Amino acid sequence: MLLSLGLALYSVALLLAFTSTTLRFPLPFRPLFFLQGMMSPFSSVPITNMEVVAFGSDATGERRIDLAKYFPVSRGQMAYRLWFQTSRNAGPEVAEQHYADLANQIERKENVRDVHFMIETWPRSQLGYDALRGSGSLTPLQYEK
Amino acid sequence: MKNNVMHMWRTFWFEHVSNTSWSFIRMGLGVILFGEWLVLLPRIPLLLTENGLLTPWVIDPPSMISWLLEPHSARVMYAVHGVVLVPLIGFITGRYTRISAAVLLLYLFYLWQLSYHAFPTTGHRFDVLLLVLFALQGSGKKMMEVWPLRILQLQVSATYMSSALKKSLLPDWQSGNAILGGLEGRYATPLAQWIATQPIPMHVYDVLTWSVLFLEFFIAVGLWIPELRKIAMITGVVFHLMIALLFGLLWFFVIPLCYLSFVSCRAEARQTHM
Repeated sequence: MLLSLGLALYSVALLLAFTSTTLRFPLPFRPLFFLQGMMSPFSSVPITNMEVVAFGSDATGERRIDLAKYFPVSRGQMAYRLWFQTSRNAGPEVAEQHYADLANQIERKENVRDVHFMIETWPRSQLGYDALRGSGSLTPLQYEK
Repeated sequence: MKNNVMHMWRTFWFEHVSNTSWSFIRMGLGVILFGEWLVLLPRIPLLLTENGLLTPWVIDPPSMISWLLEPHSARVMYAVHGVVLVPLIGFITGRYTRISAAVLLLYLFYLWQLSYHAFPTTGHRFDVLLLVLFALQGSGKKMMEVWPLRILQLQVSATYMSSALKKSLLPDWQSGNAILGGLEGRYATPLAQWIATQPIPMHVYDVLTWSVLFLEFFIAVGLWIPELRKIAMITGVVFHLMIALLFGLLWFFVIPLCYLSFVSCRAEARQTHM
C-alpha cells in the first residue's frame, strides 16, 4: 500500500516536471527540481558565445585572472561551472553568495584584491569557438536565472 | 471499471519479471560509476579540495555536521575516494547491493556538496535515481516485481519526449542553427570543430536538426512498442555515440543503459504469450 502510494506520487511528480519543462511554467515544489533536471538536456543553443570571466587588482593595476588552471575539465564544463546554474535556480541570493565565496578564494590564491566577475560575449564563428573572441563585449555579471 | 483500473495498476507496477535485465543494469551502472571514479581520480586536488576553486553548495554548514560537508585535504580525499572502491566492487558483483548503493549514494551527495552542484548533469541525476532504486530493491531475486524497471522506463521516455517537445517549440531548433551552433560551441570536440569548418550547405544542417527532434520522439515512443523497440535502442545508442564523439558528453551513456529496463518486459510478454 505504501509502495503504491509512493509510485502514484512519483508518477504525478514526473508528469508535473515533464509538463513544466515542456510548457515552461515554474514548479511549485523545490524537490521536483531533481526530476526537472532530468528532462530536456542541452536544449538551448546560445546565439552568441558567453563566459564568466574574473578580474582583480594588484600593484600593477587591474588584470584578468586565468581561471582555466583551476578547472581540469572541458571548456564547456568550466564555463558551465562558472555560471552556477543550480545556484541561480535556487535564487539570486544563493548565486551571489557562491560568487562572493569564489571571489574570496581567487583573491587569496592570486594575491589580488577587488575580484569581480563580468560576462564576456562574442559572436559565434564556424572557424572555432575563440575565433572572434575579443570582438565582443564585457558586461557586469547578474545573479538572476 | 474500478476493478479494471486497479488490475491494470497492479499489473503495470507489480507483475513479476526475471531479474536478468535488472542485474545487467546494476553491472552497467557499476562500470559507469567506476569510469567516473577513474576520471575523477587525477582531478581530486583541484575539484574536491581547497587547492582548487571550491564552492561547496552549503558554504557554512552547522558545526555539528561540518566535518561531513566540508572539503578535506587531498590526502584525506584520496583515502575516501579509495575506500569508495569497496562498495563499488560490491555493487558491480551484486554483494550487499543495498548497502553498497546507499554508501555510493552518500558519496555522490558529498561530491554534489563539494563540486557536482556546479555541473549537475542529467547523467548524475540518473546515477542518483538508479542508486536509490537499487538501495530500495537490492539485486532482486530471480523473479522480482517490475516497479523499479517501470520507473526507469517512464523516466527514460519522459527525458526523450520532453527534449523533443521542448526543442520543437524553441526557435533555434526550427532550422539547422541548433546543430551548427553545437559544432561551433564550447562543448565541440576537435572532430565537431573540423566538421563545422567544412562547406556543408545549411539545408543539410536543417535536415540533421529535424532528424534529432524526430529521433528523440521516436526513441521515447518506440521503446514501448515491441516491434520498434530494437530499432529504437540501436538508433538511441548511435545517437549517444555521436553526442560523445562530437560534444564529449560521456555521462549520457547511463540513459541507453536504462533501455535494458524495456527488455525484461519484452521477455515476460513472450512467456505470457507462449
